[in-house]
Amino acid sequence: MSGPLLLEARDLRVDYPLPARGLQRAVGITALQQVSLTLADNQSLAVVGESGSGKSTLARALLRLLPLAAGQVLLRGEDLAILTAAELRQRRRDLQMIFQDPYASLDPAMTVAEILSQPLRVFAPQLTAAQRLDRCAAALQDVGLLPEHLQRHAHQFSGGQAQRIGIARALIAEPAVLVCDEPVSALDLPIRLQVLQLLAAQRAQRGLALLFIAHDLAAVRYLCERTLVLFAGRIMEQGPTATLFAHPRHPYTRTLLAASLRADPQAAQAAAAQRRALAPVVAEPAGQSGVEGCPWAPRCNLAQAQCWQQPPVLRQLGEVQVACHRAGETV
Amino acid sequence: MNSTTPPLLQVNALSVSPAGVQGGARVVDAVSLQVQRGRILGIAGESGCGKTQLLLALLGLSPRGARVQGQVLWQGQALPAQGAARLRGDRIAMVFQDPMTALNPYLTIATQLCEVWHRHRPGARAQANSRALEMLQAVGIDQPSRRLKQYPHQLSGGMRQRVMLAMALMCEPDLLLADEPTTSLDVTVQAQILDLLLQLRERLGMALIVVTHDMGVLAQLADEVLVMESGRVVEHGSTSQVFAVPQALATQRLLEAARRLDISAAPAAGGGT
Amino acid sequence: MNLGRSLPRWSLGILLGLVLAALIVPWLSPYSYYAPSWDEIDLGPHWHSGHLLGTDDLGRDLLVRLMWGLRISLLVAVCASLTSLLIGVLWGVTAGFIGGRVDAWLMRAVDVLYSLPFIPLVVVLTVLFGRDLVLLFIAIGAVSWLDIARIVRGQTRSLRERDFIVAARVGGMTDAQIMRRHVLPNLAGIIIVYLTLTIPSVILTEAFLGYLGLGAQAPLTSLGTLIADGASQMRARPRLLICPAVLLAVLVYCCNRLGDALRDRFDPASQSL
Repeated sequence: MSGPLLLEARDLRVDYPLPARGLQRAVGITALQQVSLTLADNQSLAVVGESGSGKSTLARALLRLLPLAAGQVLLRGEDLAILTAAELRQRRRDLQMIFQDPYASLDPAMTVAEILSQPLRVFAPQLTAAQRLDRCAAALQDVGLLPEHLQRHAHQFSGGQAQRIGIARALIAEPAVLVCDEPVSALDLPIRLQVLQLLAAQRAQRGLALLFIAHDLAAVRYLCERTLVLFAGRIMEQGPTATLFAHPRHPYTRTLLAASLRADPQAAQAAAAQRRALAPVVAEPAGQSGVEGCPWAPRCNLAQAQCWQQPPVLRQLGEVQVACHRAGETV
Repeated sequence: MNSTTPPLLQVNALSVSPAGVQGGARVVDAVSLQVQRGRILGIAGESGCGKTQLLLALLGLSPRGARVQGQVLWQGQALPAQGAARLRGDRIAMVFQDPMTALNPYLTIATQLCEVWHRHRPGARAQANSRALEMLQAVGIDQPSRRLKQYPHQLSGGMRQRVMLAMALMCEPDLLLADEPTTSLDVTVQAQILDLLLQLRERLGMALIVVTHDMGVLAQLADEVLVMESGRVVEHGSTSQVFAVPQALATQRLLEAARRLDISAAPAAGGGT
Repeated sequence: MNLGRSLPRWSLGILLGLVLAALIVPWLSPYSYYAPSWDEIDLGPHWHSGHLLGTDDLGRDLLVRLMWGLRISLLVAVCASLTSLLIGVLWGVTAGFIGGRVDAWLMRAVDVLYSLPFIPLVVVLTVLFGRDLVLLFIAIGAVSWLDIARIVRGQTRSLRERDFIVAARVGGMTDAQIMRRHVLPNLAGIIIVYLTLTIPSVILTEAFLGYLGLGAQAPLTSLGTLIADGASQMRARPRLLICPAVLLAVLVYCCNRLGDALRDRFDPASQSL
């Protein structure tokens, strides 16, 4: 690991309260539990999972947009929870975010110039209006757009261009960490590739640390050195991307890999065969409901009695960490 | 393949000009294609290439005021606009991109499924419910009897997409048109839907036209591939042909993106230290 | 997309013309709006004497009375609307954005005020403070802000969840800054539409009060009062009804037309029907 720890999350737990129905007590859903991760300068970490896995919740929890039920988020060693509101706002300079829907994240009533100058007003108040405008023009050119686009509104751009504006806004105050919440899912494949290339270039240029959230493993492979796999709010596997993809230890990781699309008809057939091999075999043993076991068990092709009774613990296995009772066996 | 049987669907020089535009700038420009019974045709192209408008034109659903020229033949017979309405939902069905907007949020699943049935099988009203149940099972929805009474917002994205498929299959169509059927879905659900479409082709002998910007989808599903750009067909061939030796620039662009983002590709510079 | 559409010239022109006329005509005309002239009762439109629209049953020039009525109506409408706008928007944005307890208290207050009967309230105020034009503004403004508060609160709540608000938070802005720079401009469209609906509605409310003897005191007159007077003499002197009614209709139409165009201008992504 190179450099000091930039961002660290320890044992995060996020609960969503559900409104009480009638006379029942209010219960909650645990969106994330026992999630820990680290990110050093210039590193990139991918967080992969389906909808409902908690990955967007994780992004928002790291940015302190959500309250934590347990755990800590540390930015350069500083616990974000003990800061005052004003101090937290200042720290946000280092922790920026880009969003999934390129249009929704841009204020429809503002011009691009106004959108880009907002972070500068907050984080660099000493700049004059003219200086701000210069920085905005430079930021646009950095992402491959033109200064004349400054006067337009968001809806006048294509999806890919709008996402670039979002990236320009996130990077204009020169943050240390960029959290990307599924930034390319809504884009066509060729545009997706362009935006990913832009992110890779920006990262190389600025020494930026990236936290990339996705359900698409392919983009992850392109951009991130390490990957964390989330399912039902828990970490299933984490480690170097290349190792994870070549030798997945967790059945869920294998399922994700088998489900990814291949750009070659024969490879696609092979992947389809693999998916059939990974189909779940065992239905839930009778009398088990209510007991908390591994969240993947209902869809797992290797589930055993133990998997239904006890949640697995995340443990180190060579280069990776896996949470699976059967991970150690040679399959 | 019996060469004297006319293809299921034959399109000759179909053109669509949007309303209010005089001359030039057609969204669909002289597109010709054919689909045989039980075959899967993939149409690839980036957003704005006209692929969705092509599908809508096939069904006679072009926006009001748009000028549609050319010929659409169904089983050898020419299809006027009124004829298309009769076939819609019955012989030809369509599945849309965004399941949330394609389903009516105020009606139960059962109501929406049965609506299609009542329209085309007015004499068999009593069987609507059992048929709906059967379709939900066929598309792999668990607890189908419970789902029938639910509303779209109570289902996940993947399940809504399956419901849309079930709706399309109610009258056992000969041809299914799918417009970006898996774009907004998780990767695991996407794989399940694609596997399901292949199974349905096996079991029902259904032909399929799939429209997408992702060549990976076509690598898995399609027998033949058509590539569109700016309303025109720029490439056409069998899947293995098009993937092995892409001729048009648009095809190469789509393929390159798909290959670079394929997880079995070598890692790009900048990712994977 | 009608981005380049300029403000509707006719409506704007007519409105400006009416405002101008309301200001200038009574000043130019030799006739007063309140002094009865027993020689000139019930004259028809007469170019020579300067009674362009004739006189009413007390010999007062109709045109001058119309213009005075227009003045008062516009004054009451604009003042009351702006008052209600100011209170309502601040209330609604605060409740919608902050949410939780603050929202609950603020909106319960709105519910309570809604339940207060309007007419008895105005009667009480009139008894306490006499019949005063300013009182009229306050009374009407104090009641009509409730609607806009609810609407604005609803819009704010849905805006609050949008990504660009989250992005603003991530960008280090305080709640107050976000409300001012992001929420309010995005409410501009709905505020303008609301204004153009309120103004005619206030004019009508004022007329109603005038009819009950609670509004602008005679001989001060408003469009509504003129219509009420004209209605009572409809059989004998239809002109007294038709003129103010047509004027009111034109005024209302132009307000709506202008509001439509203004909303398009402020909300560049919207299209009018």
